[in-house]
Amino acid sequence: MIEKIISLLFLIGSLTYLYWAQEFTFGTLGSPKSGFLPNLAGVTALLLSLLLIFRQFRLKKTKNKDAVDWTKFLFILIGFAFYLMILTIVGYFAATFIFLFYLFKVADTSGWRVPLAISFCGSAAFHLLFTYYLKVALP
Amino acid sequence: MDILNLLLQGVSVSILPANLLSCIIGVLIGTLVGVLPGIDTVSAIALLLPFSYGMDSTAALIMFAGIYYGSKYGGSTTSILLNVPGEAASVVTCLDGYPMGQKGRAGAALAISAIGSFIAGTIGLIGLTLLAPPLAQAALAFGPPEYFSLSLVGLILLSKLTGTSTLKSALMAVIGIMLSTIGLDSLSGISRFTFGIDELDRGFDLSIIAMGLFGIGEILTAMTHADAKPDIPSVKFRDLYPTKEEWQRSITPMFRGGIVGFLVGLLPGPAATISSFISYGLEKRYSKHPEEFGHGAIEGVAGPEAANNSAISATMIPLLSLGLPFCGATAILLSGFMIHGITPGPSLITERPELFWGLIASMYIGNVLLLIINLPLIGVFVQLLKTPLNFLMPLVAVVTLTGAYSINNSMFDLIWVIFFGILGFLLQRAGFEPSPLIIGLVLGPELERGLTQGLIICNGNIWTFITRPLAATILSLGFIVILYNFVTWFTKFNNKRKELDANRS
Amino acid sequence: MENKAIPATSKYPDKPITLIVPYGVGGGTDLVARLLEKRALEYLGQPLVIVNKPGGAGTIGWNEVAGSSDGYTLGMTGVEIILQPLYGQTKYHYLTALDPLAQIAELSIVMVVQDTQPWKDLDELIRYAKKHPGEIKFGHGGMGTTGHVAGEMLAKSADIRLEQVPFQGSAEATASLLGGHIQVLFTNPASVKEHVKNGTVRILAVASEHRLKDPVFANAPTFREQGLDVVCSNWHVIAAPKDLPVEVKNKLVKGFEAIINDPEFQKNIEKLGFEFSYLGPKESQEKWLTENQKLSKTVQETGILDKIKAQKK
Repeated sequence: MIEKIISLLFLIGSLTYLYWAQEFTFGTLGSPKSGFLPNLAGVTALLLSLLLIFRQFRLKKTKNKDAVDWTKFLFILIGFAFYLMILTIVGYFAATFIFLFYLFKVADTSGWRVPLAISFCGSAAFHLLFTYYLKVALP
Repeated sequence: MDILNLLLQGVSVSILPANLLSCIIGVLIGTLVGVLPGIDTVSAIALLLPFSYGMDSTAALIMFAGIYYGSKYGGSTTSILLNVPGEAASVVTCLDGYPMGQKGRAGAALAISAIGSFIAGTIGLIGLTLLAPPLAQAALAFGPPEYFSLSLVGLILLSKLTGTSTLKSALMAVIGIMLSTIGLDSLSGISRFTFGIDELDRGFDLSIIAMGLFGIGEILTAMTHADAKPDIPSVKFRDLYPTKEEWQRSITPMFRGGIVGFLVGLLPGPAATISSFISYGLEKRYSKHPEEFGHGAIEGVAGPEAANNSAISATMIPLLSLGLPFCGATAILLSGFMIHGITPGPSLITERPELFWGLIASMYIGNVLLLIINLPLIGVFVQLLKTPLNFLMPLVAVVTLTGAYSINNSMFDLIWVIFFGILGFLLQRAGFEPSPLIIGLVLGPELERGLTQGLIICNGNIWTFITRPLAATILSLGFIVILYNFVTWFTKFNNKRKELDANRS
Repeated sequence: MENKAIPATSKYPDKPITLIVPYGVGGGTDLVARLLEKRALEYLGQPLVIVNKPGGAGTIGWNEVAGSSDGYTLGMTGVEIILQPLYGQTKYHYLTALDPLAQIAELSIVMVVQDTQPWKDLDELIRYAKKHPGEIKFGHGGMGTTGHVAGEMLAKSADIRLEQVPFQGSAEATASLLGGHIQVLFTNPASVKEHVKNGTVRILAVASEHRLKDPVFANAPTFREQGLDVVCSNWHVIAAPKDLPVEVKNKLVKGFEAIINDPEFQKNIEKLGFEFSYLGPKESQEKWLTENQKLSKTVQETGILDKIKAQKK
């Protein structure tokens, strides 16, 4: 099922890409311009995704994959989004601390104190490592 | 032999206390840089450049070189343990290294990777010692049409790399190419597909996509298992080292990888990354157990890791003999040279032999040091795997994100890492292999540049383009291999059909 | 211009100053900036923090400098601040949005050919080009860069047709020249110095006002000397957003003047392959204006502007 969705997405993606690529001149063989490769690549992708979808509708087998906990997936994504948003506001240390704790909870770790402690140590360690030893400018 | 004499002289230079110390510091930093996702060799060396002003030139350069090849040892560590490539060149190691880790063979994978790196690194150095000037000249004969041919043939052959569906892999590769066109194109001077978003002008950084697809993707997969958390097999001591069978299967790949990496390293482009992919493809082709690839085939770790280390030695050749840096890391090494008043080039060997040979000798020593450092660390690293997944994964997520941010100091990049993480997660579930996308991303620019420049040079004449001796050779070889593959596939297809018919009647 | 945070001028600087390098780590500009970083504490009273913001041929970094107002954000600039707005829409018009504080060095462009080529000097090449229009291919570091502009300027003033081959950076272009894939190369002297010394590469002309100081190149005639109006060079200038309080600006100017004129700094700059050339804020500003005038004319006349516009329909 998901295979077909992805292939369809790729098909739409290639079409969109090709559409946007029309903005660039194709050029000539002696003087290829910026639209040369994009057009070629876009057309190839289009053909391939068409072939793929065609083939998928002919064979009906789907592989059985482990079930996925989509709720957790959603929670993790929300966590990521939240982390990105607060990163610039409260700074690296605080944001990472909150984020780590959140993720630990989503990942079903038990108790409060251990996750809290590890979140604290983790954020501190990373902060130190990246800021002082590696001189990276963290938010 | 004259060269041996010079090399021995170099050894005497490189074991001077100051130089030896720099070597040790360099390889240590290099290993750390390789292990940490996001911090790359170029940044590390650039950060240390100002500090090196006070140092003696030879010592400084030995240290920088140490960082350079040291990082290729460390990069495989996180790939094997966590499916997060520490460096773009270690992406391929994730393919078979990580499954090995999941099966409890992480120690073996790490060991083979370290030893393979050592053997290949040394092979590369021998090549560098003996053949530097002539090889450099030979490399110059490759012009844009040749790069195009190499990229084209490489793409076609390599996109068959993994997974069971050639069609899917091919599509991923083309998408990789399409992604690589986004951004400011130096060939035409305009930004493509950026919709006025300045940040997109930079294009997609290979590391960002790799860390997202593989790293975050794996984290998402691991954290969303609906079933009970998978048991991490407890690692016994003897599991830390490879079995005899694993050894035997790895020896040839190591040597093959060493040679392939060396040859690829002579050419422009992200040599270590490309050579690791090529080695993977080669090993899969020659392996007696091709179906194991992608699920923990030791050759898939031995070959690529060897390749990316010998590629490093090879990239030093154009740098030292011609003063031409063909990849980011050698470019910054060049800056390191120049800051100390040394301009590598044809006259370097004659004007500063003690520097040249001292540097090369230090690279041999450095490789040995790295082996000594890395092997015992394997035990330490494997302990990491014992951490319960639910503690480990969030920590890895944070390290990956932080590392990704640090590449360009850009929040924008973080959004992309997560986006590609989600994409990687979905792709895995849909049976698409992410690695061809990386190949497309890496080779796409080479392809386009070779094509555009080549056509201009040949005045738009395709015939001239493909009849250049080198280009023609590459294209014909590629064509023959593709034809051979097609014929084998067709025969198998035919045989299967005959079987089915026979069974029916 | 509302809501600008005016820095406390008497205490300035009281916290580290950010210097934005709009290129990747390890590039020429980045290394110059890091040289500055080394001595900043002494001369400016506060450390310099280098932040790399690569992308958009520099525009990403410059946008940030132009958009800042706290007086603690500076940027490294090059000739691209003039060229980029000419080629297309940029967020700010850098010439008016930025204020130069000091020029550090100049990078000139040289025209070189392989030793094995038959043309001993520029005249011979021009004569050949007139007889075989479009046959000579010249390489450069990217569309719209100084190498490209210099090449097109030559084509126009000598009235010949040259085909340009864009490369991504000077290393690739130099490799192509040495391999014989292109015939001519316009690039910075540092890239080819060793090869000129070695004799494998011959230098035909220099695109600057005066001959180069470096002994290896001292014998190379300038284009001007040979009767052609081809002058094109890149430079490194530290810039601040416009409208900084005068006191703040003066403190910065004085501090940078001291750092840059320090003899050791000069030596290091030259080691990197750049030609040291200090200019104060006023001279830099004048230079920006004249360069802008000149380059606007050039990119139009040589057709570079059209070529770049032609990439989009």
